[in-house]
Amino acid sequence: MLLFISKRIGQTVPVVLLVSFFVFFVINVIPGDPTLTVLGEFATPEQREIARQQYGFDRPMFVQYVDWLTRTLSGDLGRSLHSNERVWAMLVDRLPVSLELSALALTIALLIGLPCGILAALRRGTTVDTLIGMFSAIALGVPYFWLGVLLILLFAIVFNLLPPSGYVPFTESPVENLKLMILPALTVGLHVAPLIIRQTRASVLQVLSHDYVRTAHAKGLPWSAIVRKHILRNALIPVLTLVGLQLGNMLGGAIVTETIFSTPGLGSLIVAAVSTRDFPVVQSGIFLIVLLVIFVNLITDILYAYVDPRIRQLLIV
Amino acid sequence: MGTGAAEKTSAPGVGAEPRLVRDLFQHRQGAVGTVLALGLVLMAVLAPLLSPFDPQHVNVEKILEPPSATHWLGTDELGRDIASRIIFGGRVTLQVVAGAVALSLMAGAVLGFIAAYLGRFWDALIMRVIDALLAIPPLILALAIVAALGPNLFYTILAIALAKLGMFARLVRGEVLSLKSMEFVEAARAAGASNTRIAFKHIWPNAAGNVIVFSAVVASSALLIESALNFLGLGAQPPTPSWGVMISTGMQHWTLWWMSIFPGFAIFLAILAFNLLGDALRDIMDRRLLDVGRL
Repeated sequence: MLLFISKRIGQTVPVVLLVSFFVFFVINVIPGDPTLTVLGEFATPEQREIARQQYGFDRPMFVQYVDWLTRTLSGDLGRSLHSNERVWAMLVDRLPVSLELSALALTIALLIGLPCGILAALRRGTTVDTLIGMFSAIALGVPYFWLGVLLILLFAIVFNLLPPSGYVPFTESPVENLKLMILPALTVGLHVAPLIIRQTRASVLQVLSHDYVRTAHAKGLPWSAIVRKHILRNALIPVLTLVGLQLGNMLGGAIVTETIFSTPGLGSLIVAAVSTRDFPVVQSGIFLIVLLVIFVNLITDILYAYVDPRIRQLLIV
Repeated sequence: MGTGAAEKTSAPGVGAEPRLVRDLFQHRQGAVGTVLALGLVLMAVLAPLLSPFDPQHVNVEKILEPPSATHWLGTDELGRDIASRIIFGGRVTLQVVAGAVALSLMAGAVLGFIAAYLGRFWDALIMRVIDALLAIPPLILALAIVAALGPNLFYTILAIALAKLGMFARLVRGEVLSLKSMEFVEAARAAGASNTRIAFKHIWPNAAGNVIVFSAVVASSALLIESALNFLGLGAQPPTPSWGVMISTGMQHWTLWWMSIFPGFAIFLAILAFNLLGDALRDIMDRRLLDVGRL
């Protein structure tokens, strides 16, 4: 297992380096003068030159990249061009909100996805299966930002059950926090649920066709025990991978969702930074999200290899 | 084994087979998806004929009107007809999606082809870059590119294409790797065919079927990214009619439900069309491969 983990980490390092390279170069392609954001339109050429030297914009791009990477890895992400706040502090402030949103969204997606997927597979070809299939086809087509708007219209405007937007930290008031987070979490969760339904249904159907299920049935084991002990344990392994892979999808969805519900997470910070062309924030925010995605994928792979030794062998060989 | 070439050449190619159209209409989801997608394309092409009003015509006397016999889907904050803006918005969306899918398909196919065909160093280099590209969630990558280049339709196409080309590169690489070891390719090589001829005459026609099927799947996620970027104000700029922008404008007038409901429904139908079409095409291709396997 240790050999697998070290090999998998070894594969991750070049990906992280390449991603950092992409993120830096994509953001620094920004045409125009970056000192415009810092000094505004009316600064003199001399003032611009000083700002260029101060922020290091006058150095070759590759030197700027190496400097940025070294500083980033040591935790120094620079300062916002807009507010002059430390970027690291801004990200650390927003990260827990996005993680809470993702965790709640994942819980909702699993609470809907797993039972529906299992039920659809066990009742294959029946009306239940068709209805669940229709639900997942429709839910997959609904754009999450529109779903967010629909949920606000329904629960906040028409029925006046929940507040439409805003945020209260969990530590301040858990009830208020959940009231404000439930709609954004539903928005992201309902977007991911159909993918979990489809994967669970396919995995359960595949396991159902295996000989050991037939054997368990033949030896008189009750159906509930077969489902619990033989089918679910094996069928849920691929679902675990999908859940890991969906984290990127959820964080991507959270960018838009946070903007709709005025949730102060990483996503809304990045969107606001894009509109003010505050590229140290955009660059570090995007890099942090990608690092999170890569980290979760790594953990998912390790967990997958832990529960299924065949995967471990594949990479080691 | 001896029939390998015939099997492969006859198996996945979508080409211009009329059978595909028949299969699509016999597949329940495929029929719905095809009708919806055709409707969308027709709406975009015939927009000037179908649209009841000029989508950019400002009418201060008709501001924020609910749906009525004159304005079926109501009017917006500038008195513009929402139905007409949805019809013309479809045109913009389809242009972006078609451009992004075509660009990512071409770039991805070239990279996948080079990686699989040249192998060794080039394969390792290209695929590591693709892995890194795929590690970035597509919407976030597109957002970074648009943030860098500025909001503009062409940059939106470029951003979505870059976010999606990795998937095409992986698919084409896989297809080419399996095809290049097949007997008909070895036979062509033995007969003295050049690498270019083998690539374009023998390998690509056989790989194209799955790539085209995959395009429908990519189109639906491209559409989602396009409308998300527009929603965030980073795609089409006013006064160009755009579904995503219409929803975000509607959010400033919560009680006026028609402003955000109808454009959102248009995005939903378009994504549903490509999802159903993609699923159906995949089903049909899988079934054909199974049929070939049984021969």
